[in-house]
Amino acid sequence: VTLRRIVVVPATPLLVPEIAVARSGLDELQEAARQAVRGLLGDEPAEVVAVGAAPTTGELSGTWSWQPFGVARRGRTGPALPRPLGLAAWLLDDAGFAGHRCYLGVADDTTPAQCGALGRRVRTTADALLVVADGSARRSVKAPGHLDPRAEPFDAGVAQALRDGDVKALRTLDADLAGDLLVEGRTALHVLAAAGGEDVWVTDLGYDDAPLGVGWWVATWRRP
Amino acid sequence: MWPPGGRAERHVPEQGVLRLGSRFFSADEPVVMAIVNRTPDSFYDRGRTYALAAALDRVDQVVDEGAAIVDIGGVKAAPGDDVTGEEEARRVVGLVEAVRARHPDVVLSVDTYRSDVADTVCRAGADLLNDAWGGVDPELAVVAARHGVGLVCTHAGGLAARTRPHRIEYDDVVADVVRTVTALAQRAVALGVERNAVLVDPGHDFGKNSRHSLEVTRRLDELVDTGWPVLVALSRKDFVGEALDLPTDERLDGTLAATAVSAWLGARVFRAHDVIATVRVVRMVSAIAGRTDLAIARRGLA
Repeated sequence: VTLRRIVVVPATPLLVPEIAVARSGLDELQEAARQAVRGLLGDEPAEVVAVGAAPTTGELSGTWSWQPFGVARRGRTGPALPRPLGLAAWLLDDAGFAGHRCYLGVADDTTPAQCGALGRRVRTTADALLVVADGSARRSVKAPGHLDPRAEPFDAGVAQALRDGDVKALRTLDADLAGDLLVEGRTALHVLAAAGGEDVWVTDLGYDDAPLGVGWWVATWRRP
Repeated sequence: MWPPGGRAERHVPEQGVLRLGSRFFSADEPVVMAIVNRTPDSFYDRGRTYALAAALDRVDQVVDEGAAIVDIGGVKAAPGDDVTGEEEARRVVGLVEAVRARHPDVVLSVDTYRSDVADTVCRAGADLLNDAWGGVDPELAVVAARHGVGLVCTHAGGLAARTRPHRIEYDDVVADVVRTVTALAQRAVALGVERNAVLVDPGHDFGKNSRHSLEVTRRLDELVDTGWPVLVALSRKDFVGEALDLPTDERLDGTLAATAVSAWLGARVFRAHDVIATVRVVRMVSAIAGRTDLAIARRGLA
């Protein structure tokens, strides 16, 4: 099995139009994420591995549920996945993906080395990887975690790495700083770094912004 | 599903789509009916929109503010100078024609109790007859049926038009309202008025003292339970004034409180002077009740 495509989407529930409602001004983000997922599935992968933050590290099964956010909608069967993986499940449902899925949760305290081991395993078992991760939640005064001046350069570094296919830059993201900056996607990005290996990727950073104070990216890496 | 989350056990009958003029209003879409008076002497506006140009400006404004229905009146409700049918028609028809031409999609209601005036305004383009005096002229429903327009069936306590309630008594005012407006609505349908264009109005202050009107407000769910779509006309009325001891120009807050309660209990059309405030209140109540979603959603979700 060869990993052929990697997509990164943010972990915000506002990806879902039913949660965000139409006038919230997030169409561009939502469309970028949907388009990236359509691209991921365009290769007709047998299996998609989704990776995102979870209370514990390991494989999970279940579906999306927006009940915890006050919207009475959920996927068809199974228990509710943690939000980032629930978003992955919803994106895959929304795109009509019928193939096999593996939801891989990575806890916040998973070390870069442990994430690396997970990523190397994904590299040999999956042909498509969907990474649910976002940047700092301290990008502005009105951000969920208020403004931290280190947030902007941190996120800019991640964006550059996603744009350049630079796995080394992602591998060396500072876990403590990421924690300080309320970066939810650090562990998932470390998994991505290992999954990307030393290969050359054609990359596209389709979205890179923080309109509500949280760093959001939509990125696609594919084989040349 | 209303109320949301099964909070209350009471059974709410299925409310249908309201069809008025070219518009359809679903059960969870609150509708504001703006008052536009071509009268020199109505209790609140006191002739402000008596002139045709002023009335047209007012219509433009209320449509812009979110009123889906404009209710044009040519005779003040309270006793006062006699206004003949000819004079009433003269006041109203020109405005109806002008509004019809300028706002083809607005629902055009005319507040009249006279079938001959009703016939004239229907020819001029009215979509709805607001029979606020509770069917004193039985031919009015016939006119509505003949022209294929809607009808508001009101409880006015059996009073003659333009008379004040005097020592009026009810064993149970709500039961009287339900019985009366249901009978009027059924009669209208039997005469050929479209079922989904018939509204019922408990007629706050009409044939009622203020305690009667407050009780009708408090128990509005009993009227909603009939399944007929409920219109409430609360704006700056005496029951608000007497609850608060305030004159008409200081009754907005009290009106909006009554509006909120009525909306919560299931009223669907709100006749009002203050359109922006009313639109906001009924939308807010819809959101609280879970009948409509947020307009935008960001808080706590980024």
